[in-house]
Amino acid sequence: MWGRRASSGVPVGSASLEHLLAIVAQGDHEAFEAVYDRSAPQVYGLVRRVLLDAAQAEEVAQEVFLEVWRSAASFDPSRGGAMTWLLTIAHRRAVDRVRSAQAASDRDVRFGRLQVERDIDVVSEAVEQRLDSAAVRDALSSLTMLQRQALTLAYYGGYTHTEVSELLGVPLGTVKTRIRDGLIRLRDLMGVTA
Amino acid sequence: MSDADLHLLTGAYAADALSAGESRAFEEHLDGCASCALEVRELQATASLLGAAAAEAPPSSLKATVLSQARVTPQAASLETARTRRLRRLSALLGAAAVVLAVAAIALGAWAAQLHRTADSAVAQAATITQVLTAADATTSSGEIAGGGRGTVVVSRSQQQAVFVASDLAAAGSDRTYQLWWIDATGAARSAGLVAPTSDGSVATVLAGAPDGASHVGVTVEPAGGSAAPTTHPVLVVAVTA
Repeated sequence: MWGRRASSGVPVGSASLEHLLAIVAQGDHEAFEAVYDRSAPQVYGLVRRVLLDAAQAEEVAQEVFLEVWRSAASFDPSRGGAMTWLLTIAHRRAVDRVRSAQAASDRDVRFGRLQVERDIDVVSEAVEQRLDSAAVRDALSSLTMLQRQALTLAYYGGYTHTEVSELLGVPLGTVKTRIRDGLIRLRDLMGVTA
Repeated sequence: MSDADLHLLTGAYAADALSAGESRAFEEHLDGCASCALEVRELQATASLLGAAAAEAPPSSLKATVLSQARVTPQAASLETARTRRLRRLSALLGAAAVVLAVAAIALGAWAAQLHRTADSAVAQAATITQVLTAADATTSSGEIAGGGRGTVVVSRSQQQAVFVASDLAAAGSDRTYQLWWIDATGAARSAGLVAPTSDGSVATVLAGAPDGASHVGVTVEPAGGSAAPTTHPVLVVAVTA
């Protein structure tokens, strides 16, 4: 699903995303455009899922791609794939934004609403129903309810494990292990290797 | 926190669910713990599958903005040899023309929007902007604008004029305006005019006055109508070559 569309340039069109990042590190704008074309829906979609607000998501997606441009030389293929590197940057920046002072008021509203509703499973089910990949949806549905709730609130909601613990009303230690157990189960179900 | 507890944080770290302080402490642990480092890499790869499953078409404006920003953004220095640095300097010289063209592309977009509003002054500005951007001695300096967006100043000493181009500039706020300043080496500031971004936050405008002895160009947020001297901390300051 990564190879959505290649740039019109023949050489970059057939290159892997990892190879393209190595070319971007040399200052190549054509390769950068190809990286954008292949990863923008994933980067933007993830940032949007965390931030909810489309305008903020567009700003943060811009920041992500500028960081990718600036720091392409620091991508090390021996430490993981290119899409993982891109989405790790995207997720971190989205979470930074959602926790920043300017987003604090929106966040209080979200946080307060969740606490009032106390219906966390509705939130995580709604998230799952919107996911594109059937493999991910199936894998998520095989987690225990608490694993799934803790993981989706942390990853898609951008909440810290301390906040997840308050939202779910379970001890922090339990949240830590549920997030880890949930990810480990997904890793094994989807056959992920580093 | 004991080592056993730290090992359990791989998942929360991979999901960015630690606070900034916890995250730094865990990264110190990661440097010395190969098994945690491997697990973190695997769980980050797993989390990125969750991320990719949320894929959604971005707005069409995103691509042009990202590509034009990259044109005016230097890359972080990597480990390079002196030889590749020399080669890079050469290609940077060749690339300078491309940077000016990219800035011109942003400027054109902003003019198109301005044309709807004030056709006459926009046309007059357009001619000056073209002269500055295409001048043989045009030099470009850019920076991130506090509050959002990126600004670029193009100065031509031979034309004795400068152009300010910005994209994604946040609205200055009600009863507020952006104001440009020529700043000299002593820190003294002369007004270089007010800036009104278009609704999409883009700007292309000629600075009022000449560079003269200015060493920097700054942008501040001022009360509507502008100020005689800056009254707030600048949101952008870039050096301009003498």
